[in-house]
Amino acid sequence: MYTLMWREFFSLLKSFKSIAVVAFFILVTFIISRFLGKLPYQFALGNTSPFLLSIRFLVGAFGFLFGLALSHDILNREMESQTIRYLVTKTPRINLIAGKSLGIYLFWIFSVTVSFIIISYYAKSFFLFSYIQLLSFMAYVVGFTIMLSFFIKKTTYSMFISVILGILIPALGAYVTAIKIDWDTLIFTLPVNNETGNLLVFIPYFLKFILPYYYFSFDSALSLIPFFLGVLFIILVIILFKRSDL
Amino acid sequence: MKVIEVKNLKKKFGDKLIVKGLTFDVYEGEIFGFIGRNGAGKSTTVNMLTGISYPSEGNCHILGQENIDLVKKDIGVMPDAANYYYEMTALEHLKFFAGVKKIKPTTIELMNILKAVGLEGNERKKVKAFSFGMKKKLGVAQALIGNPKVLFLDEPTSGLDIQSSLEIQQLILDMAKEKRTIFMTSHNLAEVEKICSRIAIIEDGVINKYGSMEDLQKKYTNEQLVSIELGQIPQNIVEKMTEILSPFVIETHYKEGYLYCRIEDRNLTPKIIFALSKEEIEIFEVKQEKATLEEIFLK
Ligand SMILES: Nc1ncnc2c1ncn2[C@@H]1O[C@H](COP(=O)(O)OP(=O)(O)OP(=O)(O)O)[C@@H](O)[C@H]1O
Ligand SMILES: [Mg+2]
Repeated sequence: MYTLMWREFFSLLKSFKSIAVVAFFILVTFIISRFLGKLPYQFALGNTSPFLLSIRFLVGAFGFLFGLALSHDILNREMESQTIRYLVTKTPRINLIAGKSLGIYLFWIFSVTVSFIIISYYAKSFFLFSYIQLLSFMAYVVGFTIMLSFFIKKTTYSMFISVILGILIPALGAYVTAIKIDWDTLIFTLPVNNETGNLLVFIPYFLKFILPYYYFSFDSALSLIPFFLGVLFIILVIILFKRSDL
Repeated sequence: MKVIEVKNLKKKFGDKLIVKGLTFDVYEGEIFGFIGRNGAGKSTTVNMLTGISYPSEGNCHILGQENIDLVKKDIGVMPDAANYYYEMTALEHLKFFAGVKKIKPTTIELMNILKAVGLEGNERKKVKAFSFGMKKKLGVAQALIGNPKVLFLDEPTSGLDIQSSLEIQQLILDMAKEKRTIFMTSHNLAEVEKICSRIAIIEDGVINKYGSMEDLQKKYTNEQLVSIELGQIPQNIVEKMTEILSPFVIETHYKEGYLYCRIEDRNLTPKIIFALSKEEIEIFEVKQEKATLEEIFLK
């Protein structure tokens, strides 16, 4: 498992793309925070550091895109080329998924940590809670990526889909997080009119709870829910992968 | 000791039954040959035995375990089709695979494996520059990592030159001597006949012939060929011989001092010898020619 983990970690780390991602996070954080810092209505930000706002925004907006684009082929490429047969005859299948997932997650922990260390050096404080929130967010992204790579069998499709979802999910996230939960509709619509047309009403609510964004509006342990959702995705893949012909 | 125990193994693809209920055992130290025509279901079976795919029905125990995960450390598998990481060298592959298997062989040990399969001198070449045969050899090499107790080799010698095939055959024989168990498929029947202690012939998803070479020969040769070495004899005696043997043989054929008789039952051999000696024909040697695996296979 650890061999697979380190292999995924280092292959991400060594590629030019990964350096580009971290550089992007840090550079744009500086640009945005500069811009925010110059705004006359600085009080609007309250006590929040402009650095913090911008890194949170960047990871939220681009985490999916980068995470998916870098690792959309982590499983399907090996299934497509059948290199996976050499792995699966040497280690239990659960180790294979776990190792690969940990490998990419480690890479994101590394990237987020490096970004935070550099930013906190300039901001002169370390934003522990946001750091944990973003790690939780990236765990969700990793789980989602593993799931995508498992379900979309062709790497050319998963590439395409990952770009689309990478843009669509943050947009959807922003939208559904903004909608208010109307408990009356939720409770009373279902038993009365359970036709498909009315069930569509629930999609935004469903997305609201299944996407990671909503949970970050809480400054509490609820921010950890995306982490567990990510783990759940990986467990789902492990269960289905166990019954797959390779 | 039973190392591989297969019971009623079946595999469906969609609703098409491909492997239709196999039952067989492989014992410790055996080289078990699994042969059959293209598409008979050999690779499908190997894949089910090794955890690449799962059985639709039935089960198999490897080293007494039904859960293949528990014995992955003890098995070495060369699947029929699999690919490499083209940017990695042969040696890097073995190192990586050893890590996946959670074992830490030294570089020298890995170099020795590559040498044993005939990849000496190509250890640090990237696999994208490998020929078909070289990739095949690397396939055998990766199965040998960690000196596993059971080896599954799906066509280990197909596409190899004669010399390389002989080397791999020798390697397999050496492994068996060390009490390793080998399950292999092959289309080279001479090879199977030479190195395998027992053989199963699968046809359309069913094993229809199964046993040691001697068992198969006994069972599937109802017609036998006897060759008799005679002294030089004049042509008119040949015709006479044919005549006196006609009650016992299906067919006779004389060529350069040898008389070949096709008979239905080996118990007729003494009668032939008796008839010939009565005519005072000199007999130097009598040999029972056995059916080859090819003949058994085609039956
Ligand atoms: N993934 C699959 N989906 C559907 N059918 C399959 C699949 N894999 C194999 N088959 C079918 O199963 C049958 C047996 O295939 P298998 O590869 O086991 O044959 P084989 O005995 O190994 O043949 P060969 O000597 O050519 O290697 C074939 O008819 C093949 O088309
Ligand atoms: Mg095959």
